[in-house]
Amino acid sequence: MGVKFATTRFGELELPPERIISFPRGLIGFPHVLRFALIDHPGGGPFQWLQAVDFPELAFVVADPSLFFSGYSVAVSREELRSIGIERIDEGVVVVILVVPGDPRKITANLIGPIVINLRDRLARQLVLDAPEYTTRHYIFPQEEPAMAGAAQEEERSC
Amino acid sequence: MLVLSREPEQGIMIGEAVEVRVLEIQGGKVRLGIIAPQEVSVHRKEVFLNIQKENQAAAAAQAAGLAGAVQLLGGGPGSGKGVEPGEKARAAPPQEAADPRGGETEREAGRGVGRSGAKGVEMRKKAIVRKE
Repeated sequence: MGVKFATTRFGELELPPERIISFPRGLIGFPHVLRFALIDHPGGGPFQWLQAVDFPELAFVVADPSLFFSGYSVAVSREELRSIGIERIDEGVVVVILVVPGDPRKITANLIGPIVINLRDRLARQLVLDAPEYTTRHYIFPQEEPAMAGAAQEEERSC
Repeated sequence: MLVLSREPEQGIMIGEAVEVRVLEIQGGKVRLGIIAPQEVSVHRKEVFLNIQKENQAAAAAQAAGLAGAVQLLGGGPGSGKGVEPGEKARAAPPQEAADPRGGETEREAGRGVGRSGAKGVEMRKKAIVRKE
């Protein structure tokens, strides 16, 4: 018997219980959202959606950061890993949340707040890295005019 | 807001399990040590708030932008191809300026942050590629 839930983007979904991932602390800023499903983007590409099971309209685009940021690394304490039932970071899957405005070239990835998922036990957590080299907003595509691009991004985000 | 004056070596207790200790005061910077149970998250406030804000922005993903990104990557429905591996994207520069996390005071203060010795077992690993 699958878990049935409504979504605004994908309609009614029914997934096997093992596809439901628990975030015991929620996401940062969404502490009350405790269950998500990881769904491949129907339009293809290396993107996935973290769809909230209990909030139909709430979904985040995520991606494997290594596809866009070759040197990206996640330093995390053992306690944080243990809180989702793993001992080493490579026992889990790391994804980063994307902000997707209308202009695809302005898509950014949050590298300082990655999500680590223990797929075996279906437990996940958003981390806050202690890494000054990362911010919440890294373009996933190379920018031709960085200064201008940043200004444009602000406009995008305000609408 | 509760306001307390503390000297170096003094601290405060928050509940029975969380201790904040003043380690050092020098040149307008305060170094704090924090002892907390592992289930209590301790973060620099501005980083936490930035991530919170970014999560909220991410919740409003635009379908057109994502479709465009799939195109840019040379993919289409059912295709995961077209990504140039190792492509290095740059950080959005204005964010650096707008991000108060870079403040030396805070970063310096942060070095004193410890969580029951958690910092001693940090690991650094490359993000792994999803196998599913």
